[in-house]
Amino acid sequence: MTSPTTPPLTPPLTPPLTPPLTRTRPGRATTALRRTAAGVGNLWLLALVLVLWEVYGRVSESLFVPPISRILENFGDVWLGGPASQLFLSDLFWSEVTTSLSRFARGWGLAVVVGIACGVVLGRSPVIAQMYGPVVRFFAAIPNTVLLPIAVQIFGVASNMNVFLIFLGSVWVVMINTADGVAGVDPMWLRSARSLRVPRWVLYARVIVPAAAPQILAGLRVSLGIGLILMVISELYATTEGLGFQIVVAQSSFRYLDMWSAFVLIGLIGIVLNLAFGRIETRLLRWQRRTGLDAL
Amino acid sequence: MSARHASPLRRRLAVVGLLGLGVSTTLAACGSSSDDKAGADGGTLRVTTLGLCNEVVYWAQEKGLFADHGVEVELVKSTGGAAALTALQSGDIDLAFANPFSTMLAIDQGLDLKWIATAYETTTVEADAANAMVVAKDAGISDAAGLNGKTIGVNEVGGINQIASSQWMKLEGGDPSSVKFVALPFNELASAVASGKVAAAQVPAQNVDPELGLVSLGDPYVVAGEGSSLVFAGYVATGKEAKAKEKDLKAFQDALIETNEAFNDPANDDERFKLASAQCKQDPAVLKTLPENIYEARVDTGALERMGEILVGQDRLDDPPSPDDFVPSYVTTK
Repeated sequence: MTSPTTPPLTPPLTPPLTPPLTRTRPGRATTALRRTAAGVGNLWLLALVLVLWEVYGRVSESLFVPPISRILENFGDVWLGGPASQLFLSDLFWSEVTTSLSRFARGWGLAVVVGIACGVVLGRSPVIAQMYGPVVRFFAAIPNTVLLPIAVQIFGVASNMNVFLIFLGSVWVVMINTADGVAGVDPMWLRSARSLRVPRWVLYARVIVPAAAPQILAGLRVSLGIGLILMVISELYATTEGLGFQIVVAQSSFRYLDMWSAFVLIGLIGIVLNLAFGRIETRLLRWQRRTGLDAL
Repeated sequence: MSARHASPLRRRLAVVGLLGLGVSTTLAACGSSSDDKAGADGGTLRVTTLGLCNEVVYWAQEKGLFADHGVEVELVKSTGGAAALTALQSGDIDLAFANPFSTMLAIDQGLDLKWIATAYETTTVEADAANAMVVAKDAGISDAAGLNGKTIGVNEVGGINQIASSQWMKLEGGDPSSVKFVALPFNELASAVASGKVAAAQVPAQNVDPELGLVSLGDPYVVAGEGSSLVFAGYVATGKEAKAKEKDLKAFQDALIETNEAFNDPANDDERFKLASAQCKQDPAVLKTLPENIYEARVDTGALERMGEILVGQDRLDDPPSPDDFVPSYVTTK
């Protein structure tokens, strides 16, 4: 007896034309290669500008805009070349850069503390915001460089003058951003926190400040750049040391290579500070990336 | 593929192309600005001034002396000698009002500059001093050595006043390498000494105000000159302009020489102080009492040589420019 043959309900399985889409982890070498390629891809504009700068410097033979290769050579002579115990940095680097960065750290650090503290008060109290908001906006609009002679009269020829100017230039943007961030905290979160009867300090430390953190950090990042600019500008006048002072000395002696290599150093300091701040920002705001603000 | 959906590669290439074109155009524009401006000046000499009360060019302009000598002059305000020398390189101006020290330092760095005319010389007599190193009366500083390790105010770091003050200290037994120089505006220097913000300052002699409790330790320029005058300021052109505009520049100096004859004639004092008063908004009666430098347009090449040696002595340059190269042959010398 033979069983009746029935046509199969499904067509016979044929090997797929393409391999199945399976996610395979790229190897470490591939990842590193991709990152390098991405890094190179991101730097093409910088490379282009440097090449054009080099060409212009060589063709024009201008003393005021020397080729970038000569600037970098001078940079090595002036700011590097120290012994290993000095991390291969020159004596001038250690004397001038530490002076400037010390002023910056004190001025900007004070601006962060005062700016966040006052910003929280302004953001939490509509009455105080109404009273002092215009004052804050007024001072924020004043170009701080014009206060340089006044700062000299108050503080004299001393580092406190530089610290004061860096503070005064940086504090307003921190304050305004903090106030806006705090004022914009979702009232529902505040009601929820109060219904849980959390203590006042916990409300600020665990709800208000974290919720306003993205805007506070945005303000800090902007103020970082302002502080660096004021660090240099405040040293152009009524000082006897620092990076800005070195630029003035180079300019008055027509040593444009020295002036440009100081610019390069200030730019590098700016990049390093921004990178460091970016790392801190990423760490502080990792909850936001993971869950989103709405999920707070 | 439609234009609206261009590939990322194509978009990136387009951006690179546009940026490259933009940067090249900008650089080309920067590079050509100097020649374009120099050519567009025609017969007019653009000369910088600092807006000082006693600049002789105002008199020459007012009295038509430049026109009498066949040269048209346009006066342009400048913030200082170094800025003027920089503007000179860009072709914006033809003559920079600058001092010999800055000019020689600029030449040492490779700028091609020529000294066309002097504006002022310094006095050799302390009684006629136009400048002073001031200290507070009660500071207990009586000589240059007393300033060792202190901070001295000057109007410009690395400028002529710092160089003269350093030389004064060196010749008077002080140690200039132990001193810190700080830049403050002229009008704040005396008050900075009086309030103790700086130990001393190099100021115009009229700023030695006894009511502020200030005393002078002497005129650094008188000491630095060592019995001879120094050149305090003058007019500088680029080597290229000095050659191309020889006739105009010679006429400019001749007009200044004639101006100085009038300036040095006491009969013209009332008129020149009235003119100076209009320039710098000061009372002519006050201007009459102020000490002045010597008005001299002819170039003292010996003084320039001595000033070069001062720069060498202070390790600011190794090989000062020779007056033969620095001063064109058509310039009238003393």
